[in-house]
Amino acid sequence: MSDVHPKNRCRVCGGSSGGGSGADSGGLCACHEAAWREVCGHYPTWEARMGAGWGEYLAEVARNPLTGAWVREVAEFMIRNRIARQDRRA
Amino acid sequence: MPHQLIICEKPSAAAKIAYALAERRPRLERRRGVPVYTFERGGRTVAVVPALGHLYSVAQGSAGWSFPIFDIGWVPLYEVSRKAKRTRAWLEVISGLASGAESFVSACDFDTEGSLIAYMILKHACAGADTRAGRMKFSTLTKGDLTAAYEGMMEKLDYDVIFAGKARHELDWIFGVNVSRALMDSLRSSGGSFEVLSAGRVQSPTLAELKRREEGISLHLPDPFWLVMAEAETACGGSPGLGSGGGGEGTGETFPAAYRPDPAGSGQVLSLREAERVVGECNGSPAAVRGVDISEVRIPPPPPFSLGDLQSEAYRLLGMAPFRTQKVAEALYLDALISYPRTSSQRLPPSIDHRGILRGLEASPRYREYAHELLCREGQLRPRQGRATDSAHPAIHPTGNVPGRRLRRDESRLFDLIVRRFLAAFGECASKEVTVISLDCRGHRFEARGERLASEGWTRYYGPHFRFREAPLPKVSAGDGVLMRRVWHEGRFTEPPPRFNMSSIIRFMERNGIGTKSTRATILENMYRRGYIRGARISVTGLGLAVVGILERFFPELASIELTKRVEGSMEEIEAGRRSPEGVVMEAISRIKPVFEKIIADYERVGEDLGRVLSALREGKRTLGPCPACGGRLVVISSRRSGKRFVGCTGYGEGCRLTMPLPQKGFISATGERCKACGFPVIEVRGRGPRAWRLCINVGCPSKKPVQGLRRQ
Repeated sequence: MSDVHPKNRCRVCGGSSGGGSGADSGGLCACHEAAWREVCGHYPTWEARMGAGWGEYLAEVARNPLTGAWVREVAEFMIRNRIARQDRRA
Repeated sequence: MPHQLIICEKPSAAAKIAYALAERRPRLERRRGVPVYTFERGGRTVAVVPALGHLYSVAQGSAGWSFPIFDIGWVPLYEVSRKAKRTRAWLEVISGLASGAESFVSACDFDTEGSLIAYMILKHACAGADTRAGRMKFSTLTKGDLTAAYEGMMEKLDYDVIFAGKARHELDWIFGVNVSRALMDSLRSSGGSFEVLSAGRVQSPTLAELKRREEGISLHLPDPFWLVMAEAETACGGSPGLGSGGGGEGTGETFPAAYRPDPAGSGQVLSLREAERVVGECNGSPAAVRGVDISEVRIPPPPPFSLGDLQSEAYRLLGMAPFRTQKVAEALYLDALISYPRTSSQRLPPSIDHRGILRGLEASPRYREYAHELLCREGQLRPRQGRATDSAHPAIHPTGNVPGRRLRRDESRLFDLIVRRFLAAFGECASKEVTVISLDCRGHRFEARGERLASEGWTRYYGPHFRFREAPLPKVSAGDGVLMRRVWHEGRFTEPPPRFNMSSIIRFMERNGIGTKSTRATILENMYRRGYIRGARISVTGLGLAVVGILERFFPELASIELTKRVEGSMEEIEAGRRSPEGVVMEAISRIKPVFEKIIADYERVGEDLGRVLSALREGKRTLGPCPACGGRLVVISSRRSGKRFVGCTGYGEGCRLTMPLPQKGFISATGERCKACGFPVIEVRGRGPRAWRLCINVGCPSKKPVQGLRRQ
């Protein structure tokens, strides 16, 4: 991993982000960028169905055994780094 | 004395053929370990000699390890494979027998591979005898079938099938060897260590599909929904009707029901509030039966087995891997118990003596009753026919022979499945009665579904292999009152796409024309062996994802289904005599050449990408967990001086001196868990035995018994 420039490292897994093109999620590898989009995209559904808050939503997603590995890693990253709902496009 | 030489595919088939054709007991002679059967038939001496599968192989025309190579030819297998040394003796014995032969017969299995095996031997080891050889066509190794095949043999070899097989081997070599070498060589030249990697025309699109599924699973985010369930109870001795309250007594039969606002919908409630409202309004309330719909559903008998169907059913019912099923089925075929298993057909043509087979099965106590029942039926015996056909062989069926030896467990189970499927194909349709009771509870629609087998039909013959769970419902009529004794909601989540298993991936390959019926299971087995996939519910490993990722970037055509579909189409055209094999191979070469030019231009990038992924994988394999002392990574290190392995910390340069001893034997892998007593990583050690053992790497862990002479750290 040492040959990946720190600027080009994925913020979630440390792998190559391929230059970090993502305007939404910046500095993520292709897998985690797609997972990031999933996490942000599904929140309105959870909010409408369960009335869940952003933090509760992330905790549920991270805990759920049906959650995919990349989505879980992103959810855990967001919890660890206290990524707020309004920051999710930052 | 001049004789006739019959070439067979395997030693066991040679024995069957010799015993079937000989007028008296054939003489067995072993020449340099090769069994040769001789006997008299019709005043002529006949020699039967087996091959050992393929005795010739595609190889590069010039020496050296480079790529791309398009200059290829066919050479004896012993020249290119160290494992095939003994085939030299076989070829020399066959050549010796050919020198005194006046006529030749190919009696290899009647399919592409069998025809090609005999053709190569006749052409190269028998001095071009392929042009004057006859071809026996048979689907079972029974005496009757073999005698008929010998008496009515084709005067010429089946050249179109042979050329299609030859072209397939050459194309697979050109794609497989060149791409695999390109991957390995680019990795080596970019400074990476040697790693055996493989890619092929059939393997790559399969792996690409598995990767797509893996990505779908990794990106799955489960959305919540709710199901509202109920336990309803019929009223005892009356039909009070809705609103009468008569159902509230609760002294009748109970049955399960589910909230289903839309009869055609799935019953999912998409809001917790809505689910709670329905539960609140219906729990303990009376309901009325709005309607009872009873319908009969016919279940036609299953079609006879093709190889794909057999592999799928054996995996589902017996848990037998497709590769194992194919092996066991081939053993049963060589014992003349079943017909040739490598078939795509789901049809049993009238030319097969169905009655004769059933009479044969009557001799077995296990099937006597069923076979007798079918034989006593009036009129013609007509089996259920499937859609798939195969010009060479019918569907897999028993020969009517009963096992002459004690079958092994897997053989016995698979034989039983094949016999029962054959019997079931002649059975009547079964039928099930489906009852749907619609309930109305305070304006909410609930539904109860029940099923019962109304008529056994063919399921009687399929016996233990037919599984049906009856769900009886009480007898009620429209207008009856019931009590919703208990209503509750269950939270559920949308599920990720299902993982492929060995059966479903073979089905996928079959549907998309990837590989042939004979090669699919072997290719799957190879992917497991290479470490690209693992588990019964298949998951793609890091190495598999890396290899297919590189292929998709640099050889997108190879990872696509279209290429392999096109090649299969070309093979069919060769078999139909519409195209020449040389033309097909040349066209494929002209198509793949630009791909290699591209990879040569990107050589360094391919190697670097592959090297990066592989070194990350290796690093991941060697990492056992976080260091509890400094937060660095604890990794397995091998001492250059002693060669022994131990645990060290990557923070050594920053002053962390934590080291721990490791078991010196067995394969060590990280579990990702931490010891509950001390927080150190827990590892798994796999020795020669079947069981792995887990241990905390901390020698001073409080959970371990103190060993005399060892101080706690």
